[in-house]
Amino acid sequence: MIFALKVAGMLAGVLILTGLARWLKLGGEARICSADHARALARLTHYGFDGVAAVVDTNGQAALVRGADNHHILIRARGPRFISRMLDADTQTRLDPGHLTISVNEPDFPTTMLNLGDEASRWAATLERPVNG
Amino acid sequence: MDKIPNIANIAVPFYIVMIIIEMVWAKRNAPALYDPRDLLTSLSMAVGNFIAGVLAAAFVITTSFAVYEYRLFDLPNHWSIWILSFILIDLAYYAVHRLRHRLRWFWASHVNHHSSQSFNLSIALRQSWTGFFSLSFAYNWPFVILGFAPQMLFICAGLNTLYQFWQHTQVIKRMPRWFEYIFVTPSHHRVHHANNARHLDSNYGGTLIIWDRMFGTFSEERDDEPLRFGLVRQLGGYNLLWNIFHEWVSIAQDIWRAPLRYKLGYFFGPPGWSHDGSRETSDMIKARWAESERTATAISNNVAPSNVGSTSDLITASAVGG
Repeated sequence: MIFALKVAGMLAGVLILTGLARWLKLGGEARICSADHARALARLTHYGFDGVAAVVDTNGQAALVRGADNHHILIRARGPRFISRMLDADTQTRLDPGHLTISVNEPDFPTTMLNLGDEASRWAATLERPVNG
Repeated sequence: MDKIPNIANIAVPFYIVMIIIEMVWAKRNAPALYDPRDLLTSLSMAVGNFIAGVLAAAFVITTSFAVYEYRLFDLPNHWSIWILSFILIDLAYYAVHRLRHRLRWFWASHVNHHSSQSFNLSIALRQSWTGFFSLSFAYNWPFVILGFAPQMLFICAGLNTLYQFWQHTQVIKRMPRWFEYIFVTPSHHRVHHANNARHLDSNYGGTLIIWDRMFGTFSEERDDEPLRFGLVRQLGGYNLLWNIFHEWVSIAQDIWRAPLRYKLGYFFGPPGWSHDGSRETSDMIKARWAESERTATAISNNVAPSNVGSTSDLITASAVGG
């Protein structure tokens, strides 16, 4: 009984603290400001990655960076920070007018839809190119 | 046996008050310090860790007292033995903590503590549910065999855990120099949680940082390089169960797929090891980073990269604080 009460108290504490964090408006959403910002983020998380081109979603929520070797890195916001993945042969892409949707083969990595406008088809084509080296 | 106080759990109200104070500080100074969804995951892990601890407690206490029956010496309940016990527990914590980062079997549970990109006091409570399966209950047994009373060791381990709470903050920049030299501080522990290549696998100490200084795993926080927290390969979401079990699932998948002679490597090898070299261990990441630094230095100095120094020199230099 005491054990159950302790667990219930802890769960209440979890909810109260999380609610307080929301009430204080902590966190927020990260934004990718520019292509240069996207390239810098790619370089920080993948040492030696030489980003030669990048495109940022119109909302700044995600970006694609192409390396000199034609590898691609997908970057997306996760709360106030960013997560990224090097795209590989298992990556699935879908092109819709103005939008490129990318799914990496991981259960917890969200499918990412990039609003790229006129750039969408061009970047979809680069994803199809073979990787050098 | 029921009277052994669990100091780390008794301090829960203190943890909550301190987290609230830090959140209020964050509101005024750095709102991104806390991510509410990540906070929910971390605190839920803490509740699960508490339940797992209660479920395992009877076994842990009973086995410790069973081992104590075979002790080599009868050590007295004297203050000097208490101090010695605390120091030895801290040394054992250093060793086990190092193993938790270098052995995938142990990393599978410890990874939970490192899987947040945030670094704040709530991360101290972000603890595994599966530590039992990584033999966390056995790390004081050598001292039980020597003759240290299990109660004494449990209390010292609890104090050690309690001390580690305040290390998980970005609010405190540096402590006085003498303190930074002897004790683990928030600065040291930020480095431990950073995924910057130069800092990977460093600062394992619990209370005393001298172990890292002695055994070559110390790395100093640098003002010219912002720290990035979390895993080398960050998790994609906030799912609680995936956070808890993802590495165990990954180990099982790797063992299933690997050729027979390589299977054990995915359990007893370091995190990131693969039989075909398709992934990177922290040593490999550090080497690649050092190579890119060497090339960048060579370019900026306008000399051939081969004249800058060996990669291993650079890795060693960065590992000891560069």
